[in-house]
Amino acid sequence: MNDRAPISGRWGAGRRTSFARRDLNLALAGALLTGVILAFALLLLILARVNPELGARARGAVSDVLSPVTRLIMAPVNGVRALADRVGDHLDTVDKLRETEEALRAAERSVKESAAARAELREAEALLKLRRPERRLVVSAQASALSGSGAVRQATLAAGLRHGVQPRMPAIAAEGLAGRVTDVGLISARVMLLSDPNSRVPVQVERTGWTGIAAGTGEVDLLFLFDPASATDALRVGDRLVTSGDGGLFPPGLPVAIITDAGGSPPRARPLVRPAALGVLSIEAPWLPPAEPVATAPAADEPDQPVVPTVPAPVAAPVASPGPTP
Amino acid sequence: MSRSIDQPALPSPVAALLPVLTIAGGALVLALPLPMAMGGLPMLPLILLVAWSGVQPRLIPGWAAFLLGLLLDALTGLPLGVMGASFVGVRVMGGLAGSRAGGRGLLEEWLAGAALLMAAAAFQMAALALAGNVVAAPGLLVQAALSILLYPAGFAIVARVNRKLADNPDLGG
Repeated sequence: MNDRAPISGRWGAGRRTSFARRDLNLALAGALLTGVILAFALLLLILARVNPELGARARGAVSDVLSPVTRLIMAPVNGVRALADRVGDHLDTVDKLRETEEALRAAERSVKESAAARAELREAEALLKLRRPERRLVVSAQASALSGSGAVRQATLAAGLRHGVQPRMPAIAAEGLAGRVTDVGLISARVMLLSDPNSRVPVQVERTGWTGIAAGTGEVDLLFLFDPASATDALRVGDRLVTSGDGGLFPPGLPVAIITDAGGSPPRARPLVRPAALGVLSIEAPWLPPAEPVATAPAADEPDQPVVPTVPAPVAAPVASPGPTP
Repeated sequence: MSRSIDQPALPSPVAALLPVLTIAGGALVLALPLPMAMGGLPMLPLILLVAWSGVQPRLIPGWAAFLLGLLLDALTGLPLGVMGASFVGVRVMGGLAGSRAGGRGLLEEWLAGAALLMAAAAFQMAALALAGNVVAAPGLLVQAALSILLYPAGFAIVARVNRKLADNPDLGG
């Protein structure tokens, strides 16, 4: 006998058995639970919109667990890369030595020419009593880019809270700016790379001084967002973008990208730091730390002053105009 | 009361956890530091979720799909809830499609999987926008396309594992 088949009787065909009722109840309960889970997921998303730091601890903790595995996996890759670099250096030693000597001579000439200009600048700053913030290195650590998601471009850093790393610190590679720290764990951290869709870096064109924003798109290239109406010259392919220092997070003068498509709207630029070969990143403190409010004593209450009704001034009598002169 | 022959056998703990463990393993693969200029590996955990939702939907309840999505969010650095919501949506749609379609050929299964993977990409974009993130549509679409190309291989692996579970009496077959 099939216990699941509906039993027909005087009260109509298709009366559900207990098993069928149980299955129906389970299905309804499952649907209700799924709805609750979906609602909770939507709530998490809304909370993430209101508080982007939500989940940073969880992501940092997962990063701590993955960091040793990541380093273990990257060890042979880094070893092979170092070996290839050594072989390449050995084969190109003579040519590189000639290039290095020429570059050194050019640099010595440039240093002599700019020494006088630097001295004048120092005197001017001293006269103005100009205070120039100093860059402070926090830690240097190995970084590896993650490629698992098409929605974000991040890297893991083998340094965390124990090494002084904090969120929003700039991450700098040998070639220039790589990104900024987002989630921090105890022994590791995540770095948002320049090509991340949420990355926005205040930059300026080194040749002309125009300021704008280098925006990540999730692809290889960045977009250079600036106001073309204020430009007095045309942007050129090969123009270098450097950090402008606006916002106080990134120190000014860091190389960021090179313009590859000057005619586009907006123009496109290729980052100088390649995600596939990050290497060692230097984490620095924010260039201009946020101002700390100074506690002041609350103002003393003043007694209410009596309001004196004002008396309007009397209106002067009109003066009779003199008659016409004969 | 004796059990009817058409009631499925209760799975052993190993068989019950296998789908969840394979999806979690796929999520760990995505966290590997592979040196690529652009992000967007095939979404292996999503491929496995779509496949298991059609083959053994009872072994991946909605709450398990949600937790797996949260794990993927933490591993890839996304806001918590993005993949959680996407996984729950895909699990529900996958369960409905699997329960109504019955036996399907390779092409039909591939098309059904492609539709679910594109739906997952749409869920992900909507969830990212709701969380206040900028949506990189080209990267997500490239990732979805790679996932669709890899789907038959993922489904074949899931089907083979499921057959071995069904054939092995020690594992609840």
